[in-house]
Amino acid sequence: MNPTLIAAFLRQRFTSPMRAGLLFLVTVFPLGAVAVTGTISPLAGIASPIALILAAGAIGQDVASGTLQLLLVRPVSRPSVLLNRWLACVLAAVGLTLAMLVLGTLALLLRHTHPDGLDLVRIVLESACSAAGSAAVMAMLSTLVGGLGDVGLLVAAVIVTQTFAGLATLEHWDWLARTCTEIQGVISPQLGWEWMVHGSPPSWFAITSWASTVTLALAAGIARLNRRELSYAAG
Amino acid sequence: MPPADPGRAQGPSRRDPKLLWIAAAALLVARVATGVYEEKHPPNRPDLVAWMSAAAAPAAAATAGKPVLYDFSAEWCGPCQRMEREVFADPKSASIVSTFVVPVHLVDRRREDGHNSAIVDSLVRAHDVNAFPTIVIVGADGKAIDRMEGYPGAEKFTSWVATTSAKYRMIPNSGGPITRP
Repeated sequence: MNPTLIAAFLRQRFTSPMRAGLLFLVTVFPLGAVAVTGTISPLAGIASPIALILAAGAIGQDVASGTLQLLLVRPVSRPSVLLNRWLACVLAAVGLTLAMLVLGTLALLLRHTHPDGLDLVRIVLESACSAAGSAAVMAMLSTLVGGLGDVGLLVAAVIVTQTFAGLATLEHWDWLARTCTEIQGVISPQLGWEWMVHGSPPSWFAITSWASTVTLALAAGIARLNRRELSYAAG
Repeated sequence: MPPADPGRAQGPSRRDPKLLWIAAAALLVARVATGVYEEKHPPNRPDLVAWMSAAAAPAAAATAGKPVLYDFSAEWCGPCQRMEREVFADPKSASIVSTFVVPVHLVDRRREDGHNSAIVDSLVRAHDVNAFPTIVIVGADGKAIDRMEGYPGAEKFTSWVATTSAKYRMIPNSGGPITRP
């Protein structure tokens, strides 16, 4: 863990007006929904979009601008750059989610109600897992293409998978539906913690699926970044 | 300026993530193994919906002034299992289902046993069920009010159940409380 790399990356991300605007949208609207509906659940799904906004172009943008080449002149390894940027996205997404949950709880207290404590713990754990998953996939995609091409790759993958999933439902092709579900799990790795609330045993398949996707995405991202030609001449 | 990584001064700048590859490979093997195991021994999930039998549901619905919800499912159907996990095992979603409708769970066994029980077979034919999951909400007269094929996610599903049930309760002579302007 390199705190300087993490701080520098987060400074770069939060000073981007476009990113700050998108972060405002994905956090404030769910917070408003909490105040209107009187339940904390609208905040359950904000960690993943926050992580995606922060991780978009994490490597590709700096490669395109030549910043990464300058950074790697310093005694910092390529795997360290990718892992620290991934970690920065996860920490920031979880931090922002926690802040929104605190504000959401305050809003509910003003309405003379309060969220269930165990439900809050579940939301925090699920947010951390989805942020780690989404940031890992985005960081991996970011090593494949320059600029914000990773966003295009992600959107294309989502559209293609949704189209095939619709086709599978229409034609009753169970194998295709199953394949699409697996691909959707890879594009957006999430891990549910509802078993903790219900007191039921966890699904080890869900846990290993999420963990394998995250580690595989990070390993593939590092391998790709290691093999990438980053001289100015290459650009 | 970022400080040097520990050990970086002597090591290469493009270290292969061997540990990460080993962890990923081990987790992939574990994923396949747990997937095969859980396919054969599905983990017990609590089912929190107050299901009724298909035979008793119409009478119960008429008494309660609620429509009947038929959930046509199959054991091999992945989206059905996801719905069971996310809706029927979730206290809030399960409570919405039990509150707004009289729920009936019907499992299609044609693929496993070659046929269904008489009551499941008649309902499958009556509602022309060709895909799973198919959810049909039926009024007191036995006619379908609305139907949904596929699982759209817990939030959309519970919202659809609540909306359809509310519409039904607005229909005069539906058996439910009539809302007058």
